[in-house]
Amino acid sequence: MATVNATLTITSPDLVGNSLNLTTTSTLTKAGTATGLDQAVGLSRKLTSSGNTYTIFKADDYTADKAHKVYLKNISARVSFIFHI
Amino acid sequence: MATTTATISLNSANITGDPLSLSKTTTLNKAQSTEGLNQFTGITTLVYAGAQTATPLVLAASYANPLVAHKVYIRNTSTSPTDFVNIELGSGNTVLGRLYAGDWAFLPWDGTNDIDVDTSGALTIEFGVFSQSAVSV
Repeated sequence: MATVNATLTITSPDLVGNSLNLTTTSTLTKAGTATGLDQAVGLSRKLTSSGNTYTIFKADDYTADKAHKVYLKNISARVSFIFHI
Repeated sequence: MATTTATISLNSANITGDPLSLSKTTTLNKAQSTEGLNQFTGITTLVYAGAQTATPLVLAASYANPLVAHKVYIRNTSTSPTDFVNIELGSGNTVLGRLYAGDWAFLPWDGTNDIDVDTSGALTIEFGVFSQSAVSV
């Protein structure tokens, strides 16, 4: 059984009057069980050449109502380069 | 200007043949800007006494849209593996996905559609919205 841990940390010294330091960790498990997720697509990179609609993941490839998790990152360094999900 | 950073770390010794160790950090900025998000609801705890259906969690009417860079944090605090929260978007309640016990989500949100939740039963949700009040460009 695979074990995958996902940790989110959000910090800020000045967003509120007291410093913000939120950390939460989850073990990624299958729907309704304590069994770990055991499939991963690995990290992929998608290069786009123009503004358009692109399909990143096809729902047909996955079973509905499960506990899938998706990680997306915009690697651009330009603030005007955005993508909508 | 506030500076808020978010870091995600994914680690696994055995999901693939080689260990997975991913860590990425981003600074939460306003849309198309290097100015930090400066509004925050705080982390709110909601205790639901029973199952919920399409219960509003974050109301779009309270936020600027759509050229914004709001971020939403949601966590299911349950420890029972069968407890889940459906995250839904908009009046059609399009299901984005389920958060099972201990699961969390950190989402970009354009402030256009309400974020609603269904729950499998009585459970507790934590959530917070990092936002900007107005279009910044």
